[in-house]
Amino acid sequence: MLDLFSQGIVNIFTQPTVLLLAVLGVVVGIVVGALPGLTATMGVALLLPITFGMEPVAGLLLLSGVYFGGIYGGSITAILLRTPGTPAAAATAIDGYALTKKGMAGKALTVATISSFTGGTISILILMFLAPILANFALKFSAPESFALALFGISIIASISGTSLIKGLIAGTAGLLVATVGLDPIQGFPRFTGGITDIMNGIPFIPVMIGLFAASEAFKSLEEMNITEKVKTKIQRFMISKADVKKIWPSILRSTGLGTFIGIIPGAGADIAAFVSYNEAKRFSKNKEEYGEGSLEAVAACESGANACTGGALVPLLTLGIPGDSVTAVMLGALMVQGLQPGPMLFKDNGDLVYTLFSGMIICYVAMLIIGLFAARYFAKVVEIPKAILTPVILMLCVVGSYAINNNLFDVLIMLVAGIIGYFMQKFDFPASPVVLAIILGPMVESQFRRALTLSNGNYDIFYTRPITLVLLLLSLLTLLTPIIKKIWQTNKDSKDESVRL
Amino acid sequence: MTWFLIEVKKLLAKQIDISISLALIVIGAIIIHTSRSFPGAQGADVGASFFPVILSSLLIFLSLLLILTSIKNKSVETRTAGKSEWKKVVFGMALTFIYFILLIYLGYVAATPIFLAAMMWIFNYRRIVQVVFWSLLITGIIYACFAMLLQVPLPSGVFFS
Repeated sequence: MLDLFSQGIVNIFTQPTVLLLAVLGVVVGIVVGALPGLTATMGVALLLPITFGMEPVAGLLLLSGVYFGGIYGGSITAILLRTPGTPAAAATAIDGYALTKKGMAGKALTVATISSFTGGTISILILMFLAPILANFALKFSAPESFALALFGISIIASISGTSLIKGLIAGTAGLLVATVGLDPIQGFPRFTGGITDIMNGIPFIPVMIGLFAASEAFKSLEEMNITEKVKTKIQRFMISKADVKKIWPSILRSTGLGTFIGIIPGAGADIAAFVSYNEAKRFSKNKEEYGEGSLEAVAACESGANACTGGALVPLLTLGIPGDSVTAVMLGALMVQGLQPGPMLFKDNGDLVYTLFSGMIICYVAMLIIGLFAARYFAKVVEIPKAILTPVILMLCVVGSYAINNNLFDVLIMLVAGIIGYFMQKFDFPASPVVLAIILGPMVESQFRRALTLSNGNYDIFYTRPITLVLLLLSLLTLLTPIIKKIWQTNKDSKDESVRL
Repeated sequence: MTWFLIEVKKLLAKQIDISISLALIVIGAIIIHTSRSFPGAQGADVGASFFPVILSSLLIFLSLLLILTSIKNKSVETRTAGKSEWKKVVFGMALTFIYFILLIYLGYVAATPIFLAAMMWIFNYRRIVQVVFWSLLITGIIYACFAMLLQVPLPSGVFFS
């Protein structure tokens, strides 16, 4: 494994374009992350179309750079302006901004950068060791297991990503229905195509993704157009002392472990990781009273937790083809654009590519560390870009990007429709990521289900006599039932509390 | 009957979730109806209509559940944007659509500055020199990045090709 890894490093350093693209990705990612309202998901979705013509490693590293930079970039504006650029940085804003008020903005930025780098890099290393083992295990999967796995992926994201379980499930089901458009996978019968040849092979998911994750956000930002902020804080004193390092070190390591673990669980992303890390760091800390008042430990915990999530989230994506959140769903799209089907076969057929990718990801994090240490304060300036310019540019990029995938204006139309639907979904609390995931995994769910039944001669026993399939299906059921059980438990508890009070 | 219609109307106005659910139920029913003409089970295969029918039934079931829960939750949520904000969003969507049409005919180079300038103008960014400057500059930068540096195709428009 180590020789594959070092070979990967060599591969990248001998290809300056790849290296350059990775660094560029990190820069774009930090900008996107620092801008409130723009998330890592949106950045990756917007840049995805331009990677189409690139070499797989180059394109994927560019997007990885945007992904990592996007998670980290949110902390800069969180610390300096108390406006978290991304949801994951909301926890960082609490103590980060308190530090800025104390005149310790420089120190806070340095700690955030080092923690993000450490969390991210360690998580990639864990990914590198864990992924092949999991992939090896998943190699035994046949049709019924693949069906159960895809179903599990959709059910978990549907039950977690929204405010309401029913709405999440409706979003997932609607996405699965959209996925049935086009030729059916076994008989080749055209379904719901209305004679339009462009959708014979299904509704293309990349325009849908750009529409739901980028255009809809841009439409939403039209609502609040006239807010611009200025960075007034004078930032100095970037150096952290040995005592500081000693103080934050345990918190970084703990959060890295937590973040990676949370990342691996499908459905939980960087924002959850950041908050859990914050809470745990506080619980274990000797300086609890500092939390909320400007604690470097807290900043370190949130940032390492959030960035450790990246490596973790890539584990199920690369080994099983199951993305755990919206960014990795877009990354799945990026892999498929390159003709790579994530899953156990990826490691068998494209092993050297995967390790080059891992090495490149670590290089992305090193680039992020260097850029962050020297230039973090300048990135805060991006919030001064007027929204009246930024929003039109994003919409233009959505249009141009969805055209560029296939040189097809029909894709632009799909993107627009998805963008408008996405805007209203957001307005009425329907989550977008189950739709996207269901459109991507839907064809797999259906074809593997039908293939499984063909294998068993139409006998449904095949879904509960095979242990892995049974476990995965039970897990899906459990995922769906957990929020309901929790709610019933909660109401019972509430009514009990009330009766006590009465 | 009229009483019923009035009641339905009231419910629609009161609860957006209910109207969305009703729309989804209608869509589900249409899908089930359409799927009936698909080839059915053949041997061990469940056929092309199986998944659409199962999923639409699920969609209808979930929509009914959503109706039930929104009736039970008496609190009417206020989450609609103010009037002027709605207008801006609709304008933005319409302009993007017009941009799409313009791309078909004029192509990227001619359509993009018009779109960017119109967007900025409508959203109260009205210093003419700056609007012109930014829209041309951004069009140029994206053109340079996409068409020249990355070799990504941009629409050229039917008039100019």
